[in-house]
Amino acid sequence: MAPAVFAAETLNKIEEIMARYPTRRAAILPVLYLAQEEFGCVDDRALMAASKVLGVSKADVYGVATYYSMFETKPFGRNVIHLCDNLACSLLGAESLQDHLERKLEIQMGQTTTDGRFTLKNAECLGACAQAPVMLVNDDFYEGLTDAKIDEILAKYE
Amino acid sequence: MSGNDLINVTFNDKAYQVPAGLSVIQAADRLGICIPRFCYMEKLSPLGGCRMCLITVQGIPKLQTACTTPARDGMVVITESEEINEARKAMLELQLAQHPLDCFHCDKATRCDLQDLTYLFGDIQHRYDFPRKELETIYENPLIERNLARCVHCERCIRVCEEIQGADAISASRRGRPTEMREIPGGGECQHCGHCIDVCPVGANLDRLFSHRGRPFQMEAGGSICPYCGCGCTLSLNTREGRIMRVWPRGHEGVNHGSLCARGRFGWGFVNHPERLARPRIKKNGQLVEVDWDEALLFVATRLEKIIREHGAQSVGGLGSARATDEANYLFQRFMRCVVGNNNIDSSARFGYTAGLMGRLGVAGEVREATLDDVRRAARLLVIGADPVETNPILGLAMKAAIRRGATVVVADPRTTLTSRWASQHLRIRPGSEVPLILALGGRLLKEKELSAFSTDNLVTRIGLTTDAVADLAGMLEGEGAQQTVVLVGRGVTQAPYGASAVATLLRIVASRRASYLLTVDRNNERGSCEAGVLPDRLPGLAPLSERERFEKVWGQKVPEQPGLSAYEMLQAAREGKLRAFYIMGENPVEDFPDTGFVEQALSSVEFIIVQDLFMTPTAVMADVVLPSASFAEKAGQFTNLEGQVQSYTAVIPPVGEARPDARILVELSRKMGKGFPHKNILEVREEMNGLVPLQESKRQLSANGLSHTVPGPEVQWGPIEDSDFPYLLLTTASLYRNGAESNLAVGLLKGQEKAALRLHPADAESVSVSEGDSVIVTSKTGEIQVSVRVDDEIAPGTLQLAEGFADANPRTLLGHALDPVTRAPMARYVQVKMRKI
Amino acid sequence: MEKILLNRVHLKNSRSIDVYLAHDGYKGLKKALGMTPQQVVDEVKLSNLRGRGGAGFPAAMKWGFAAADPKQPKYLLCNADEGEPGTCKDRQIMEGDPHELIEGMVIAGYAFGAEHSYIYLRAEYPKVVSILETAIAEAEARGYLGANILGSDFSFSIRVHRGAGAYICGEETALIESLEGKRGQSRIKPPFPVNVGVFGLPTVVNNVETLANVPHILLKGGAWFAGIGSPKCPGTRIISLAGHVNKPGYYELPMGITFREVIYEYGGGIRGGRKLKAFIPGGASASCLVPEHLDVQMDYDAVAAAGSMLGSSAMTVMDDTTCMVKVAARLMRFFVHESCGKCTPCREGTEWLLKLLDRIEGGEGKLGDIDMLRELCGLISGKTFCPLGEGALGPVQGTVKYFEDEYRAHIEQKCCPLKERHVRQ
Repeated sequence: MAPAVFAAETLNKIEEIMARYPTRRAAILPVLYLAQEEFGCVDDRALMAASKVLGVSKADVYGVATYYSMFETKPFGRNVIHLCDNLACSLLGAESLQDHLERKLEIQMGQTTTDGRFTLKNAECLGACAQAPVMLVNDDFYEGLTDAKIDEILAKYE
Repeated sequence: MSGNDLINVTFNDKAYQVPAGLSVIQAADRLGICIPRFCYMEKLSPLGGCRMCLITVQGIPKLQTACTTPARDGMVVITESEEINEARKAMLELQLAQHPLDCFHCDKATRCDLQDLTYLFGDIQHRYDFPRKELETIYENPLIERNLARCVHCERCIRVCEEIQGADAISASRRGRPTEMREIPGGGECQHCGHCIDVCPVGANLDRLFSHRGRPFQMEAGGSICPYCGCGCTLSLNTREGRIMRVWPRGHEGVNHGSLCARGRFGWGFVNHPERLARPRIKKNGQLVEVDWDEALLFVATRLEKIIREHGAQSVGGLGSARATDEANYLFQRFMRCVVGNNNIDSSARFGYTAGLMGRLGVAGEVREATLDDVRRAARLLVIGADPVETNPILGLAMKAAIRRGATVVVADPRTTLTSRWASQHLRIRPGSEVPLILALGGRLLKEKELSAFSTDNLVTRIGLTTDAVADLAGMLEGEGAQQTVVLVGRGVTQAPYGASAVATLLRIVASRRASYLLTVDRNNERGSCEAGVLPDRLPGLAPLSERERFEKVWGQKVPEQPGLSAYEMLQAAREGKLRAFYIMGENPVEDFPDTGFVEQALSSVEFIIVQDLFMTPTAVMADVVLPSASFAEKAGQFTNLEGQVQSYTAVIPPVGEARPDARILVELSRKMGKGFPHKNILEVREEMNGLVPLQESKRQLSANGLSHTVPGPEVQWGPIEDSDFPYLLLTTASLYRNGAESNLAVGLLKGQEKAALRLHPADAESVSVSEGDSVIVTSKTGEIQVSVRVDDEIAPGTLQLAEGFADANPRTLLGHALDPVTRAPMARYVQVKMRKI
Repeated sequence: MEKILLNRVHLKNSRSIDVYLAHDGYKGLKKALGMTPQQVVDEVKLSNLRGRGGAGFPAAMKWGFAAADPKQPKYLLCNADEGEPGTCKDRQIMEGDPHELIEGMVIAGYAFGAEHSYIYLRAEYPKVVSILETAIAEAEARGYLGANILGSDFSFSIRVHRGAGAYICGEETALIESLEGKRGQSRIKPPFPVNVGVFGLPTVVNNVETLANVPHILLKGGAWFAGIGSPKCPGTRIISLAGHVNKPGYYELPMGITFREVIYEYGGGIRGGRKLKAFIPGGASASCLVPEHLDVQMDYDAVAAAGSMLGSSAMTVMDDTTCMVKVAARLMRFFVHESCGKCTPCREGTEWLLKLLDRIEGGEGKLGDIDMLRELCGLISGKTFCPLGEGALGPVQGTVKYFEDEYRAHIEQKCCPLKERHVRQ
């Protein structure tokens, strides 16, 4: 098992982030984002690494990491699809888009494709209700979705 | 507003006055007005989550929670009304909606707040008609089970773990209904204080050792005092049919204020252990065989009398006990002095409290001794050579409480300890330099000529600190704030050469700055045993032998004039064939004394050994007579804790087999030897003792006589001399999970930590090619042990840390026993060793 | 009607500082720095600017409280955790005109004496992080931000802090907890953030839209602003219009216009010429309204009088194919997902409500379930720790009130009575 420490480069980034706050603990969310990137998810090692660098107990880091939707304690796919299915998107057909995605990727909501290419997740409102239905793939935002549009979009991600 | 201001409040149309600064629920609690709650607890920060304490505050339309609403002058509060009742019933219905209702087999049943409140309100509706959550019990913790489905989300366990215990072992994971109060996967942070069990209002956190061992109403509860360390925590022993089933704190009573450590809560397993000695044994044809009491005592009396007759009283040695009661120790010294006829009396307190005591006696006049409460309120704590978090965990909690109130804690210690991890500043001094550090502080603060040599830069460099760092440290004892400074001194000082001189110097500084001090004390009654007279040169109340007439009058027996031998002097005498008989009451030198090889060799030269103990310890194995004594739970007595508080307790269960209290054994033996003590019961012993050494406000008044101590010259070797054959320095530490032989027989503590672990720096692990969990052989000049390693990058490179107390890898086997010139105690805090992988 | 907040977003390169400067950018700040902080507070007080996050608390009053607290340093937190479903107004400002927000923040910081600020940005807007950071760097390079702003003694920093997905962090004390690196749960009040806020120091939390109004108020005067729209809550609101309308979008409109105007004039009416069934006037926690409310004016009091709330002014419009039980269930699932779990009524109650709604919607409801929904709302109402729990009742109360027949039909027919339907549960 790889040691529960951050790479030197990440540690530099973390130092820079910590300088933005009067307490080390305040850097917990940005550090967890970096940990998730570096360790693939917020697993035990990531928690240990974050706890050590922040000087915050493991219990507190764990409590925070599991509180927020953006952190995963189990490994996930290379690309994460957040399909919004809150009211505005649902009114405009998010349900059939979900069916389409599930059929196309051969997974259920919340699962990861066997090749690790995609993880499919629901999102609770992506804040673009006027362009509904919408989704987020990694950091890229897509609006006015249709089945065909989704096919086109997914082809862009390896 | 000062804490004494009173404000006017109206509760349910009645006017009251309460202190300012309280919340409404605190005010109500003080007035005896009952407001139901799940999440609120006086000792914890308020949460406001359970919404059971809803009340009406005049002028605010919405119901308010009493735990989060400050009580204000002129406030009008209603705590009971139709609306409030309905609201509380609504909260109960919601709590019960998904509760598993498995009360039939819940250990908490009949002591459960959810049951009680539901019963109180009587007519709670149960309209939730969906499947309930399945009972899910998590057994990740060896001692505490967590039943997530029963949880009412009050977060008391999380708060107590963080705010009082400081362990941060439990967290709320996830959010909303799926939130789980549990240890993080993999755990490892839990210190097994079990406080989360006590504060849980329902059966979510339960004691696994107890599991289904009885309904609460089948338990009898008896108050007692913890037999492990010097804190002297108040316990409540839950017993059933004469056996201990579980241990609780006793409300908020005692020095521990409702907290316990792993030893106090889970360390009781030795009491009803199957290996407890049930009948006396005497050696017949090389074998220890069971006999009745009469035969055993007669055998002891006959043999002792013969040895005294043939070789003189001086040929008998006696070890009283740093664990036995004040009364037992008192009778033991009287037995040795009056029945045997010498002052060869000592105990294992010799290498703990005694050196500190000698230091204290070296200072004339008053020196303020801190209590645990003083530590809790301290603004500055200076911890030298001590690890209270592990040696005296409740003192450790007091320190953490002070830190939470903003106290600065500076720890001067060569080791990385649980205490140093809490420090605002950890001064990692060189091993063995606790004493020169104190002398250097003395040089700065006392301005005395003979100490001036210790403030030179040269010496400061040898301590491992800069002159500035020593000056900063001295600053903690200067100025107005010094009165709020408490100095904690541990065995790093008292077991070092000239430790007593260092203590005396430190106490003179403390006295001159009106600060206070406290000695950490490993064994529960080190202090009591000394004060009861188990010292070769002091009578009860620490009276010098010159005052013996006073005692002779009361005892009606002669007290020898010549001071006796201290523990290691007795062992030395034994090895030289000068000691023919050794009476060992409740000590286990073969395991518990430094340089076990030497101890064993010394004892093997003794013709007649009497051991009085609970178990067949390695010392008892060498004995000619083994007398089974009653455990703390089975007898009455009193212990004197590290603050000097004398605390009495009574028997809670009958003794195992034919085991007898030490005091009774001593009285009967004295009679068999024709110099019978008159006492008919323990109270008569206590009365006699208290007559000689009066108690005032539960403390004994001791007069210090200001003896002068040798201040060592700067030429003394502090710390180890390098030895290339033994390249590592092993530093002894303490463990939360061990304290004496009994702790190795307590199932709870074995579950807490099964085996010893040698902690070392990753670089040192690499140099002998071991990784976490591998075993190594550690060899010193005196012995060899095998132990598994734990890699820890906070340990200083080149040093190894091993806790005392684990029977499987005992560092005392490795230690030497060079004696301090002042205290005649072995200076055994570290030893040079080599190490190889198995 | 002239736009105030969104008057630049249509410009090419609207995010760049040059475009911003060419269109009155940072003029409000220049003017503010020529005034005393108290004068700035007074000017905003004169404007009667009320918070745009949903509660409508007067902005100048908050600043005044924080300014009066002697503790230093003070913090300004910009609440950009726009999480109320249906709401996407703040995003328009941050993506289209980030300097408007920055300028507003600098002025606010000057007004109550803050040195440091953070923009707490919701996690679901990852691209906005770099937009804001670029704009911050531009402003720093030009001396509008950083040390000694425009040669004055005033220094001010802005950092972007990305949240991690928790709706409740939009509540100001939960936001503070989250920024401190804790689980984002609401704090006990008192003390209030203006006295004991982030890192224990005086803190003002202002919504993006609130702060974006500030440069305009400084530039054109408080009296000018106070004269726009409704006197009780002057200025414009950015209305997010979503759902079954022909022209969903963001419309910056003065308070006081009617829902009919918004839906039929700006929104172009209901898609496919269908009938309006219901609309939510102010985010997921607002109870729905029905066609009879079309002529209600959009202001806090009028909407409250109609039995709902204006909240974040996010409107979701539903046509006659919409199953209202499903709408309620869908929104309740959101609240269950977002409940922090701290207080009993919200934690236990929302999950129970969802189970009942799911059961009814799935055709397995019991006759008593509708009453149970009502009673359960009663058990929860008024007893939750923070507004989230209370807000979770909105979707149930509105739909049960106006569509009880539809609920009953689900139970009696053991399925959804609608032929065509949208809204997946």
